Amino acid sequence: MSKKTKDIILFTVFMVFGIGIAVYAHGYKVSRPPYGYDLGDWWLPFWCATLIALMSVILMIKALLSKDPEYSKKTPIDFAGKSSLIKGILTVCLLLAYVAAFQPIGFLISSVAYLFLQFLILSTKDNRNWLVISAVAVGLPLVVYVLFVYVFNYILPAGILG
Amino acid sequence: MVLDGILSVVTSPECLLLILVGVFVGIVFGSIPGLSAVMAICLFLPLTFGMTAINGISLLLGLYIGGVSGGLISAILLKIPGTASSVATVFEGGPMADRGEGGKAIGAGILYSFIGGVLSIIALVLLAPFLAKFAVKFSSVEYAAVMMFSLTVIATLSGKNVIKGIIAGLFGILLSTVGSDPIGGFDRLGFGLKSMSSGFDTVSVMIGFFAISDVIAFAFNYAAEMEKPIIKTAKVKGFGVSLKEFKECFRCMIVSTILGIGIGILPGIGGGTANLVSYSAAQNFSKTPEKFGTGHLEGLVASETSNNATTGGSMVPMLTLGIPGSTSAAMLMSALMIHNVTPGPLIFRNNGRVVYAIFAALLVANLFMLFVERLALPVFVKLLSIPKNILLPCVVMMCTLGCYTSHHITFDVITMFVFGVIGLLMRKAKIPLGPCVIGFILGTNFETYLRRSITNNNGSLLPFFNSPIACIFIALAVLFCVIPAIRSRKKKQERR
Repeated sequence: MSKKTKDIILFTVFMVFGIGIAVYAHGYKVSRPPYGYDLGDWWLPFWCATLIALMSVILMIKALLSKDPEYSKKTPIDFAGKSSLIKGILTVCLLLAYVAAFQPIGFLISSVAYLFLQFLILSTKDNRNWLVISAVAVGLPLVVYVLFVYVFNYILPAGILG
Repeated sequence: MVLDGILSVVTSPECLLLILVGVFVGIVFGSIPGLSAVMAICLFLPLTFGMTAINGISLLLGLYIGGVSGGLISAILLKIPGTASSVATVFEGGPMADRGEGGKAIGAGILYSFIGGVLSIIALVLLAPFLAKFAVKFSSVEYAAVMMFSLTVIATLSGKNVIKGIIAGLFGILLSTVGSDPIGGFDRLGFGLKSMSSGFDTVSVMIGFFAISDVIAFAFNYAAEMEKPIIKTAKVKGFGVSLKEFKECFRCMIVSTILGIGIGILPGIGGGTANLVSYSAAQNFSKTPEKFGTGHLEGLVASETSNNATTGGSMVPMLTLGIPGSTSAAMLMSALMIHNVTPGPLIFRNNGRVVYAIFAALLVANLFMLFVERLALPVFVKLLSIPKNILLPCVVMMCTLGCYTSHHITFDVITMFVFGVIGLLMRKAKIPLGPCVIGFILGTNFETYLRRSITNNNGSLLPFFNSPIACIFIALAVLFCVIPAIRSRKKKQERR
């Protein structure tokens, strides 16, 4: 895929997004018209979205009219390797799981699990130090939990620990 | 009264110890992304009830000064702004850390934070009544003009592709409109979700954009990242700033201090705007604007001097008019009132001793901040030698904690994750994150003051041209948009 194609897709997405939000925000003008001389709650989101759509159109036209051969040249996908791709996907899934588990499972257990698994994902057999990984994964959340709950008196989600 | 107030701080070991503890804890809170000086002050406020007025307020001032300056540590070392006041520090401090000058960046940040803080306190002591009179002249029209001027930072930070930068800035402003409308209170762009009614938390958005997207990008680029050698950070002598560099940055330092004090005295604007405006001004008036964003000392000086200069500035309306200039100032004001000290025009007459004690405590806190952070500099620099695959997950955990402790709702943590993914997609699409974050930080204030000014003036825009202060800011806004365009044209002509 060339840079030109990527840019056209990107600007199209922005244009559709801008138009969508502008139409939605304009609905506020109709449903709750501004009082007196106030610009209204619709004004800023509408104009921001409209300008985003307008600028995207400008950039799209600029991209379509560009005759730069380097810009239209097909470039290989920026890819750091299959193993990195898997690590990236696993990281996103793990972060999602951590966020989902933070409240119901509790800060301490979810953080220990997150750190341990994230260290495993972001290491290979060659550079994996089990002692360091285990010590940090257990020790850091514990220290932070004690500090925040017993020293600073903050409330952190206890989750299944009650 | 003056001497009595100063000596009550300087000659009291108990008071000095409280300031030192406050500064240390404040630095810890400021350096952890998601925690802030405001949280630290909230936490320790009940502890001051049993103390004398001077001791109690001295502890809180230590927390305030430590918290404001602590943000530079995470901004430089982790490229995560601890608060909105450290956003511009990331743009220069981060690249400096990447090329092994992390120690120099932190040292310079500490020094200029101290200078900005001390100069603003001197301004507070000598010019408080005059500055207060100036602040009172600002109506919603002048505030709206200041915000318009602040938004020009978006154009300055857009880099080579100005239109992409402006789209990013507009996207950021659009994100700031999610939630309750600041004037009418109507829900906007929430799509029926109750949790969206209070909008997105600033800290969650910043942490998502800078920290979470960094971790995900690191994972996707793991093989290449692990092949990079860990850059050894050079040892720092003194504060890492030579006399020549100090002379070169002197003008920038003075201008940034004035901007920081000026913005600090305006209630409701704060350090988040000050560091961005100073950074933009420094870039526009620099002899080497093209170096900004690549780890340029002048940019770091502008950001750190101005954000600490707001500390003294925000005390001016709080002490002299009883109007807190920021959330931290509001907390400090409540502490004063608990101890039967009423801020306002009569404070010098009724509680002069306490006022001068506050001035002394601020100076002592800045001094302690300088020493504590300089002594801890080698420890901070050690963080840079921790492998990224160990450091980044720990940072994510602390950031998640920081996001949660803001309002104790899981929605903030979800926001952090969502904006992390959005940040990654923006990086892939080469859309700059800086303008987006700036638009988000400044958007609400811009809308509030613009709508108020138009409503108060019956829909007329004439007051913007009738007010000399507003005209100056609008002219500066136009100038800051035109200067980069002229420079870019000159460069193209030189190339031809």
